[in-house]
Amino acid sequence: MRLPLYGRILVILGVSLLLASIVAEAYGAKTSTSAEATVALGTAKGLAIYAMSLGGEGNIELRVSNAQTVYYIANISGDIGTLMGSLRVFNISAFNAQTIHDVRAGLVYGHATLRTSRFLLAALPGIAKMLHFSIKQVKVVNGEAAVKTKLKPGEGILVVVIPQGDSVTYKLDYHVVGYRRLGLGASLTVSAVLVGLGLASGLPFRRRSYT
Amino acid sequence: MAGRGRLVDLIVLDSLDSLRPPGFDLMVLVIATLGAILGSIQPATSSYLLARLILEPTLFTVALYLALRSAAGVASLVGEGIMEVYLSYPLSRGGLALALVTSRVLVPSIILLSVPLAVAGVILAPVVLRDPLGLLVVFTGYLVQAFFYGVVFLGIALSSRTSGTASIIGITFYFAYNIVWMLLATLSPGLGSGLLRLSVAMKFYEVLYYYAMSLSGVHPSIEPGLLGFTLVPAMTLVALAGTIAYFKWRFEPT
Repeated sequence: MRLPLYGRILVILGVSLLLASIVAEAYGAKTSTSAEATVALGTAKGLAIYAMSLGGEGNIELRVSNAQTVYYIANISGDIGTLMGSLRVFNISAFNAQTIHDVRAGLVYGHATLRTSRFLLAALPGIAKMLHFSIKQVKVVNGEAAVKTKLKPGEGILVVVIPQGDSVTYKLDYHVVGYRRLGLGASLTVSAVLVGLGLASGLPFRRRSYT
Repeated sequence: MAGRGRLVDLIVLDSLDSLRPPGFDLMVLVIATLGAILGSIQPATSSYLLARLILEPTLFTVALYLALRSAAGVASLVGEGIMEVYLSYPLSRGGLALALVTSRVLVPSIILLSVPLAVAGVILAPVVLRDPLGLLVVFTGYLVQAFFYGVVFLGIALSSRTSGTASIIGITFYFAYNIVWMLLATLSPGLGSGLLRLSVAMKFYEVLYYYAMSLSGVHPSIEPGLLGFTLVPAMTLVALAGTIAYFKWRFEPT
């Protein structure tokens, strides 16, 4: 059966849709992710927790335990690594960074220990102001604090924790907003219609019209 | 009217050669399937993001197709004597050049860029229908960039006449253009924001991506400015005028 160009394109659309829908159903994007970690600080004086949206939009909540003081910088557009690097000028260095790329949730997150003096960490609001970042302090109750914010595409958040003891526990919850996919059944129906239309374009009764 | 009909006939006839199966069909199937998979494994919550996710890797394939099949195919038309048959059509040389640009560059670019987007658009219909303009804006950016590459490849093919030479020079141009872009983007932090603006302007789709972003209320990190909106379209017009002028006055089909 020889198909005209539009018939070939319709069949290709249908077959691609079938294959991509099946993969999307099995391995497609997630609308939420969560993580929990307890970080032993050793000689470090603080912990930086960071998260950045890869492209989607979502709400993030970070709960921190065993904290004395918690600061955060929200709506960072650009690379968080660059921001952390710029802190080095003020003798605040990040070590032991552990970063997780959760591609299916569209989020990069992780933590790094901060080696500096407690005095410098306490002076962080002033330092951030010099770097033109608006830093906010979070109320800590019984060593626990929570930061909630909305991440727009490509935006990130950096939370700095000055601990009470020698470890910090944090829990991250991220929910994607505004993402919806067509169900597998609907995709397969559209796929079948496209393949059917494409194949019908090559049927003999279509060809008779050219003669 | 009759002249326009003959122009369309020639576009259709030459498109059937440049888009012939099975190579073209296999390519469209693979890029459409993989592009749609790429678009659905990450939660793209805006249509302009979805378009970029899919079209970024697709553009590379489109450029290779335009250099290896479309433009190099024109050189084969000359070698096999088919160009002489085309020139015997009751069409002006300028009209024939336009037909070749349409069938060898515009039509393949539209199909190769739109099919993966259409497949992902069905799967992510709720996202796309919320902001179809963003998708169209980014698609236009990639289409203009592909058209620019394609017109340059066609000009090279017409002047080099053998498909092997046309392919090599075309791909060399594509490689050089992208390396220059990369160098400008890499050097710009040390040498000033002018270079960064120039590097963004070299990729028209980046400019329209930032524009689509601002349409959605997200403030882009770079303002492309007037240079961004004019550089690639202006280079495309110059390449198009040069290719048509060469075909009209200098091209010999034998």
